[in-house]
Amino acid sequence: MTAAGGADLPDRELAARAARGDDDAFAELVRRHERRVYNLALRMLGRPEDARDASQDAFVSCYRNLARFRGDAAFSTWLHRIAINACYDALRRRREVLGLDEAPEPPPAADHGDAVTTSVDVRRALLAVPEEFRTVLVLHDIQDLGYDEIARILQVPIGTVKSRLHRARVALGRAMAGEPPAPSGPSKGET
Amino acid sequence: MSHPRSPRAGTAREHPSDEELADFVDGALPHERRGAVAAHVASCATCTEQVALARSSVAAAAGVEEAPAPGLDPAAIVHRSRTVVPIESRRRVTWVGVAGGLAAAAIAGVFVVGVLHGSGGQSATSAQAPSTQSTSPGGGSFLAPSQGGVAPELTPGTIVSSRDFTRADVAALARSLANGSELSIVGPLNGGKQPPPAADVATATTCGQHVAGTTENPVVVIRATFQGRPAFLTGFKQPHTSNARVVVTPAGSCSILDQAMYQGSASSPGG
Repeated sequence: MTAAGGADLPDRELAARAARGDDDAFAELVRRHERRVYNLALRMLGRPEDARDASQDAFVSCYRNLARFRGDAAFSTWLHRIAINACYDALRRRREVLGLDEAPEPPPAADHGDAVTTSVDVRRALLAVPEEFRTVLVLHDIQDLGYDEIARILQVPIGTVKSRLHRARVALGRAMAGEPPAPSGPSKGET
Repeated sequence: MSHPRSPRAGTAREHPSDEELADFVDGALPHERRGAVAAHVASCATCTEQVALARSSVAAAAGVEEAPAPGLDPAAIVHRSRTVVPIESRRRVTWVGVAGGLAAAAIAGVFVVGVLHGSGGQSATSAQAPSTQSTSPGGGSFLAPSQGGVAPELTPGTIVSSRDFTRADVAALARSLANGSELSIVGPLNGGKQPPPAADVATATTCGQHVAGTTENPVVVIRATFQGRPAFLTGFKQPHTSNARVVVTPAGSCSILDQAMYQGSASSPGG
């Protein structure tokens, strides 16, 4: 391990070292990526405590599967995929435990301005967007990932990414305007 | 889009695809398509509305601020990775509104205690849990104490029971907790048994919280057997509702053996 816990090493090298049992290398990977993973989970799940749990689940899964990371894709792409799966698991658990089609989302603390769309409003509205669409919108419009990378993360064609993005945007726009979601289902009409 | 359209607009009267509208909003359409799509959007009320909604969404998303790093503990993650059963292998069983279990549980030898209300509630029969022994493979909690509300700082009523719980019993327990009735069947109690190791109680609690999707402390933790296997039954009440959940785990492990959820009546007494 180099000085500063491998801070000067690329992800791929750190992952290789972590897979060989170098926990300092893994710690550096966690430090390097936890903010992005947590923010993804926060926008997907809404509640900070759920996002924290999902982030931990994602890194646990990452650690357990380091030996399977061959470096074919960027480490961040691979980790995003794991994190999204952790979020889907968390959302599924909510539904299973509550026995509902769609678990009720606790609204973040409201702080309405008269004519101002606050960040809280957006976060609340985001939870009304179907999960598959929400994922793409968070990755593209909030985390600024490109279509190519999103397609690699989700392992779907770029056309599907764009289609889901448009649907997500319309759904978010409707939710922010207080309109009911459109009747079409999550995978209808995808390319 | 919910209205009929061709996959790719050939004339101004045909709706552009969702894919094209995404590119249109981003200003990323190929030059040769830009004019036709713009002309269609300008003349189509539906597409005009969708583009306006999408643009408002893009503007709003751009204003979402990034939250600071959560400060995860890599050592705790490594420890958990090495000691806890992967979540993918957990078996989950969810019952909602299960009826009939209560009667099955009310058999000879049943011991009745007052239901525990609220976090940290204590039963007259609760056993404190000194950390005298730990036989759990993971050695206890897999989350670092620094992890706020998720970490088990509990000392809820920990009950040692001689009952071999069935799935019906688990459902009955959830119903009793949900209804907030005076009776909660968890017996027969065995006060003479060694209290469970605190680490095992902590593990059961943390796993229960994870499955239940809550950071609330359990209202009751029962050390008993489930279908002949040593287990913990961890009971949670959802704040401000009458919903209750019971999660069953083996000692020292997060492998979910069973769980039950019961939606109680809103008028039932709370804590």
